[in-house]
Formats: sequence, structure tokens, C-alpha cells
Amino acid sequence: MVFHSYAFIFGALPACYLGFLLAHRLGGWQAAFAFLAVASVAFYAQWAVTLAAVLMASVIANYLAGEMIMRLSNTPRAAGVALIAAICANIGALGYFKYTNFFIEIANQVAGSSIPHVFLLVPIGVSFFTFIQIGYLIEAYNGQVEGPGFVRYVLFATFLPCVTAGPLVLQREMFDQMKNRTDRAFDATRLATGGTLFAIGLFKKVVLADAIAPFATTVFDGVAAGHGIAPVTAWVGSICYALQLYFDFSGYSDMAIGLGCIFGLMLPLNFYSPFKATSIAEFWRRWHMTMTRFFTTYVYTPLAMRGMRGAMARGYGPGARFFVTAGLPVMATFFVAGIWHGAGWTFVVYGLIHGTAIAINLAWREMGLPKIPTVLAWGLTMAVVVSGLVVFRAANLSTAGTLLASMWSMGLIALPPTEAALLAIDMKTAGSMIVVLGSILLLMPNSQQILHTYWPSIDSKPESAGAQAGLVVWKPTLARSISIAAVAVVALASIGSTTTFLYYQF
Amino acid sequence: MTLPPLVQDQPTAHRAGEPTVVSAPDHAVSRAAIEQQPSRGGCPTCYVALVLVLIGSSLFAMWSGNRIFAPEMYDSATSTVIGETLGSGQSYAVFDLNVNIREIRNAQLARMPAKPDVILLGASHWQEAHVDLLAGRSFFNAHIHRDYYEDILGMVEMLVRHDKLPRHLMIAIRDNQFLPIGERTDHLWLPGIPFYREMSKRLGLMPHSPVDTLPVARWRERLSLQMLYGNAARWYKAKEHPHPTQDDQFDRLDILLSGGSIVWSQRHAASYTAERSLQTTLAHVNARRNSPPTIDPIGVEAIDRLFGFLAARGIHVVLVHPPFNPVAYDALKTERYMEGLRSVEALTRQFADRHGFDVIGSFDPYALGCHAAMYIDAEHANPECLANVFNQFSQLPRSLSDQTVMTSKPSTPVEETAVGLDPLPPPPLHSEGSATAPPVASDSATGAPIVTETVSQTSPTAPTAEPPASQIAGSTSASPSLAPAPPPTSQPRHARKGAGQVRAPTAPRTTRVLSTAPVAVRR
Repeated sequence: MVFHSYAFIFGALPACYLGFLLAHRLGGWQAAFAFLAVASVAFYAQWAVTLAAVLMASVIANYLAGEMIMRLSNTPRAAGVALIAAICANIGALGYFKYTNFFIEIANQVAGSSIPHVFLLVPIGVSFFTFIQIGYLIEAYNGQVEGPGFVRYVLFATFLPCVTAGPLVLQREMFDQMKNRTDRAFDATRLATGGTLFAIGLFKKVVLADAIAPFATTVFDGVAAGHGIAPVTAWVGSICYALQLYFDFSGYSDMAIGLGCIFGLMLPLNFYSPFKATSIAEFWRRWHMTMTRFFTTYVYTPLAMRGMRGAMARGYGPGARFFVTAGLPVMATFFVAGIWHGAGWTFVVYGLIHGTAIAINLAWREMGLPKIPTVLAWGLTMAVVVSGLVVFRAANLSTAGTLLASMWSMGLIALPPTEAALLAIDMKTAGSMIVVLGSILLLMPNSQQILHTYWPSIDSKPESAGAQAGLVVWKPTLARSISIAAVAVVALASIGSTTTFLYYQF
Repeated sequence: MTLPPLVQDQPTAHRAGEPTVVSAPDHAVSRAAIEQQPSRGGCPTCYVALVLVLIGSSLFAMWSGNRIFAPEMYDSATSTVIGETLGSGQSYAVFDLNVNIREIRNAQLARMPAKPDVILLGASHWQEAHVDLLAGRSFFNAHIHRDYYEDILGMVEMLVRHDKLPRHLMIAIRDNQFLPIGERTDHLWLPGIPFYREMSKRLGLMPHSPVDTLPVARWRERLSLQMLYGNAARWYKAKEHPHPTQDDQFDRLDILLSGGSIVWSQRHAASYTAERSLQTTLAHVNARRNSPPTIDPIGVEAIDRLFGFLAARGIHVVLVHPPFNPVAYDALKTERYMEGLRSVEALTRQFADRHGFDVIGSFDPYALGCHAAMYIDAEHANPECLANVFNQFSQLPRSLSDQTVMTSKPSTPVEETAVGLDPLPPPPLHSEGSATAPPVASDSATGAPIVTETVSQTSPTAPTAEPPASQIAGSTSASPSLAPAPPPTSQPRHARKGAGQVRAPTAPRTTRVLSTAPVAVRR
């Protein structure tokens, strides 16, 4: 059951909301949170009870580890050992589920062996629930956690809207919202705001993302199957995938944030018009923002701090200092971010492409080089983003290489001929969709800007959100109800054979 | 010395126009965002109520609209009318085969005045099996689209309910007959579930849970805007709408014949070219190549119980395999798919042995003398090919005797079957030589049919069905022919119509080659 299914929209969601209200009526917020925790685990268990068992094992183990770390706070060394052991256990479990076959493949390549792949049922969202719990453990070690209690911890780690694909929440974001609640569980404003954001997200996913998906699939699968591809087709297919991924994942994120709003637990933003970015660093401030935040906090910053201490101690010059305080940490961070997405060389390369691009971006700024004109900067940024996503989506590096070579050779360099025919897609329709969806991306305000009057996220609202929304401002009025109902109806009527969210695989 | 930010210019401050991306230590939760928000214009309660009302009424309009513009699919009353029309001996013209065929069959059987001598239960593979394929008998082709094992139970329930259990019951077993519910991607079987449940009760079986058989996919279809647009556009553009008819063929309407088979519209017939057949066949092959048919043990138990029920009533049951397009068969021969197919064949043989049933037909087209030009796609053969299967039926000893022949094994009384038979041994995953070979085999070198041992073990002396020389000649070509189908032969209307009704046999059968036509049962 996914968010964009009738079973969820007309069955699970209303039932869960009514149960939440009833629990609140019977036992206040604590009962409501306990109900949400049970409902979240049940939601997860509908995929497979065994997977829910894995999830709960992870939750219980991390809760106990957190408790132990907090109890050992007076003996930092012991707490540190406990923290490292717990993180290693989490990474080990994640590695077992996600990377076993990748390691087998590497071993086979290196040693020339033929160890067969292992069939493993990978828990949905394993990367997400593992990492938010690692964040919890680190903050417990840093003394930033007040004992949340088991029920609240379960809700934090398994909260229905974000257990499968984020946003990656921080412990304090959730626990602070669970403390001393005095407001009502039923809040028409939250319901209207969250429901509206959910409808917008649903529209993005089932109408926009699923509409453009076939073009991307045809191109990537066709090239993987050995077809040749013309440069224009390669560009169109790659842009289609970029648009598909954005509308798919940001649609999912809108739905998740909307659901959080409905249940009174606000979630952080995950997307904020990334395709309007004019630098790669800005892109990452707007794309999968909670992941960026996580890796910035827990990977980049510690590495950069360590590098800075080393540079100061050794008296490095500007170049070497930049390398150890920025270049190296950035590359390491994006290497980890890449591999976090999945087991495969494509993800490693994807991470390194972005790491390199950001390192160049930082160096450019560090060296005080002249600012690139906005249009050119935007073009360069999008070129990196689209090229990176080609590697991200491709089945293997060979497919990615073929596509990138076709895209960037622009027909000037003759590529090796393929036995299969050149791929053909309906360029007129694909081109039209790129224009329409691209216009939405670049000319329209984003979901949060549209809802800025009733800001639906726990993140602070940017001052310019209202101005950027222009005339497309949502308020719970008659006129808006008609337009949002139309959006919802079109989305509901477009739910075809249910496709899953792209980020469920991570 | 300052630490260069990764992606932030100023980690703790906002840049105009951008959201905060803060690191954990600097984060502060906005309580105002959590707790009840002050009013900023509008009425949230009214808004929520209005949105829900608008969504509800719009969805209801779509739900109704699809019923209005495609009543053959979504309106039970229309299905009943069609079924009763067919049951009374008339044909019914429809836009296409997107009809609720299960409900139609139920109404048709209820209205049918007499019990046919032979009834075929199967999938759309048999849609062009006209009544004249069984000369000298009253025959009703009760095929339905995309049938699964639940449908066999459901269709037998209809026969029992309307007292139409025939003397000879042909039950087709297709490749995905026993596919577990969780692996199905279509939903045409869902309307047959009420009948399946009734028969399960009769047999003392535990049916699938209601949750597993909720017709969500059908609801989704009825709520589809695209579907509504397509149905409405078709309705308004059509020169003729569905109606009862006595005509032979229409330009744009397909015909459901009272005998259970169908006649393609001229437009459909013309669209089924050899090239299209090849394309759809190759697409089919690609889709199935690595997806061997799987067998649901629950289905095996249910069918086993049903067969015990039929055997106890002295019904002459004949299990039939539909032949594949040779192009598909050849392409799949070396794929994983074939392992599953062999398992289905072996299971069929086990059923037959256990209950004393006959087995005819074959998944192997060469064994039946069918060639590629006889197909509209990977699975759907024209009457010329299907005739070869029916020839085998006609030559079965028990068919020849035209009497109900009790099996040599003592039939299991239904009361006993309800208590439970010995469990059927699981089918082997791989066929092993002749032990699990299909009943009709072909010479791998020549493709010519070998001796066709189509009879059950209870009739060891039964004669073999020998295809006509022309069919053998056609089948000797090792490489499948993609030559166009022979031109349609004219056929008197009475040869196709009025079947299902008890009808005197007519002149020797002339095979009607209608077209290489589609199974456009799913849009």
C-alpha cells in the first residue's frame, strides 16, 4: 500500500485519522501518539510482517543503545565505545541488507570467483530509518536527547509518513513536538493545509511524474538493452528522467509533509525548487534537503573540523588548507551520500560527480573568481545535475557512458555502431511534456510557497516565500476549494496501475 | 580560519528566498508551526467540507459516467439483458470485448432453454470456437476472458445453479490457470468471485478472503478519467450502439454469438495482420520469457475437489490445453517459462489420472497442426486451428459413444470430496521425459505430430486422433509460417448461430476463418 493508492487514501488514511482522534479523546496526546506508533508499524507491516520485524528489531536495539549511551554520559569513553558499537551495528545491518550482493560482485571481479548472489528481502526505507536512528544515537552521545520514552521513540523512528522514504527527521524535531501538547487533535486548519499539500503531492506523482516516466524508461532501458541513441533523444530521455524523479520524490515528500501536518507532527522540508538553483551548492540546498542536512551534520562537519585542526597544527598553505578542510571532506561526504542511495558503482560515481562539482564551486568562491552570469550559471548547474542523474538512473556504468557520450558528443564524434537499431521515442509528446513540466518547475511557485500563509513545515518559513508565490496563494476559501478539489479529482482519476515511488528502493 | 560550508553560505542564517537548512545544534523548533494556527482568512472547516463534497460528487459522476457509456462492462442490468438475449438464441453486437462476460454467461445460462450436450469452459483462447466445430452435437462455448482456477469453480457453479451441467464438459487449462492471486496483474476475474465462493461452499472449501478479492482494480477503472473520456468519446462517435442482432458481421461492432463464440467487426478483423500478430507475439514472449507460470497449491486443491465433484456426477470431463502460436512456442522453448508450462502439463495429467478424465489439445502447436498464420497473437488461434482440438474431442471413445461413460475408477461421492481426498502430489517443477510429457507431442525434427495419446488411462484402447493430411502438411514446416491467413470462407449463418441451444447437426463443418483478430478484452 502506497500513499497514492485507493486503499490508502480511502481506507487506511481515514481509518488512521479517526483512530488518532478517538485515541486522543480517550487518553489525550500520549494515547494519540501511541496509536500513531502502532498504526505506523502496522502500515509498514502490510508490506511484509518479516520486514516489520526487522524494523522493530532495529528500533528496539537502537532505543536500548540510546538509553545505554545516555546512562554512560558520565564516562565519555565508555559512552563513545557504546556509540561506535551501535553505529557499527547499524551500518552492518544496513550493509547486510543493501550491500551484500554488491560486495559479492566486487569480490567476484577482484578474485575471479563466482560466488552466487544472495536473495535478500530488503526492508523498505532501511536507509532512512537506520540513518535517523544513527542521528539519534549521536545526539544522545552529545547530551542533546532527553529520554523520550519507548512509545515516543517508536513513533519517531517509524512515523508513517516518513518511514519509507523520509524526510530524514531529527530527534529533537519530533520529540519537541510530542512534549506538553495542549492543542486539539482535530484542527481544521491543519487538516485543510495538510490535505491540500497531500493533494498537490498526489497530483505531482500520479499525473506529472507517471506521465513522463515512460519516455525516460524507454530511453534508459533501450540503451541498457544495446540500442544506439541519437544525442537529442539522449538529452530528452535524460531530462525526462530528471523531471520524473523530481515530481515523483517531491510529490512523495509533499504527501508525507501533508500527512505529518494532518496528524499534528510537522516535518521538515525536502525540496524547495531545486531546478531554480544557479549553483550546484544551491541545488543541494534545495534538493533532498533533509539528506543534505544529515550528511552535512554528521559527515561533512566532523571531517572538515578534523581537517581544519590538522591544517592549523601543521600550518598548511591556502591550497592544502582548502583541500583538507573542504575538498576532501566534500568528496568523502558525497561518496557516502552516493553509496547511501544504493549498492552499485553508478551511485558511487554519482556521488563523486557531485562531490567534484561542489568542490569546484567552493574553490571558485574561495579564490574569489568572478561571478558567472546567472543564465550561464543555471545552465552549467543543470548540465551537471542532468548528467549526474543519468549515472544515477542507468542500470550500469556502461549504459551511463553510452548516454553521456551521446549527449555530450552532440553528434560530432562518431560513436561505435550498435547492432540494434537507434532508439526512437515520440519526440513531439516528450518535448511538449518537457516544456510543460519545465515551465511548472521554473515559472510556478513551489508547494510550500503556495501554502506559505499556512506554512506546513517545521522549518522556518523563508521571508520571500510570500513574494515568490505571486498570485498563486492558497487559503481555505471557496474558490481555492474548487481548484484543489479539481486537482485532487484529476489525481484520483489518474491513479492507474499503482507504480511505486522511486525512492522506495533506497 | 573559518570552516568552509558544504552547501550553506551561512549555516545559521537564512538567505533571502531560501528555506533554512540548519545543522542539528542550531535547530529550533517553531512551536507556532505545531500548535493551532491563528486564523488567516477563510474558513478551514468549510473548506475541508466543500473539498470533500466536490471530490465525492466528481468521483460519483465519473463512476456513473463510466457505467452510462460502457454499460456492458459496468452495469449488471445490461449484462443480464445481453445474457438473456444470447440465451434466447439471438446474438448481441458490442463495441468490443470489454464486457462483463461472467455476468453475461450467468444470465445466458439461466435463460438457455435446454442443456447443451457439450460445454467448453476456458479463456479467450477459445473465443473463435464456433458451434460448428462440433458437428452433430449441441455445443456451448462458455469461454470467458482471462480465466483462473476460481473461474472454473465459478462457471461450474453457474452450470449447477441453472441445471446446465452437460454430459461432456471440456475444461481448458491454460498456462496461468493456477497463478496465485498475488501475482495477477489483471482484474477481469473479480466479477466471477461470488460464483467461486458459492462453489467453494458446495465443496467445503475455504474461499479466498474478501480482502484479497476486493475489486479495487475495477473501482479504480471506473474512477478513471481516461477511461471515462474513452468511453464517452466512443459512445458519441459510434454510428451504431450495442444491440441484439441477427446479422453476420458489422463494420465496427463485434458480435457475441448465442453459441458463446464471437465474430470480429470488419475493422477489427482487418487490423489483425500477420505483422501485428508477430509484433504482439514477440511482446508476449518478452513478457513471459522469465516469468514461468506458477501454481498456487490452494488452486490445485480447489480444482481437485471440483473434479471429484464432477466425476461423482458422471460428467465426462475432458481437460484441454490451448495451443500457442508456433512463434511464441519456439521462442519460449528454451526459456525458464517452459519449466512452468511443463509443470502445468504434468498437473493436468495428474488430475486426469486421478479422476479418470481425458486430456486433449496441447500447448505445442505443431502437435495440432497449427501454424503461425492461424493466430492473431501469441495465444489466440482461429477456428481452423481450434478445429483440430475439437477433432480430438470427437474421436474420444466416450464422446463417440455419446453417452455418459462412468469412469473405470469408482467415482468419489461428493460427500467424500467435501471431507477431503488424499492430497494431490505436487506437480514436478521440471518435466522429465515422457513421464510428464504433454499428451500430444511433436517430432522435434519435423514438427509433425506423433501419435496422439489423448485418452486417459481408463481407456487404454482408445484410437488416436489423427489430424487431416492437410494439417499434418501444414505442421511439417519446422519454421513457423507468417503467411497471411487464407481468405475467409463463406459460411451459412445457421452454422454459427443458435448454438448452445439444442440444435440438429447441420451439413459437414466448414471452417470459418474470420480473421487474424484481436483479443481486445483489455484496453
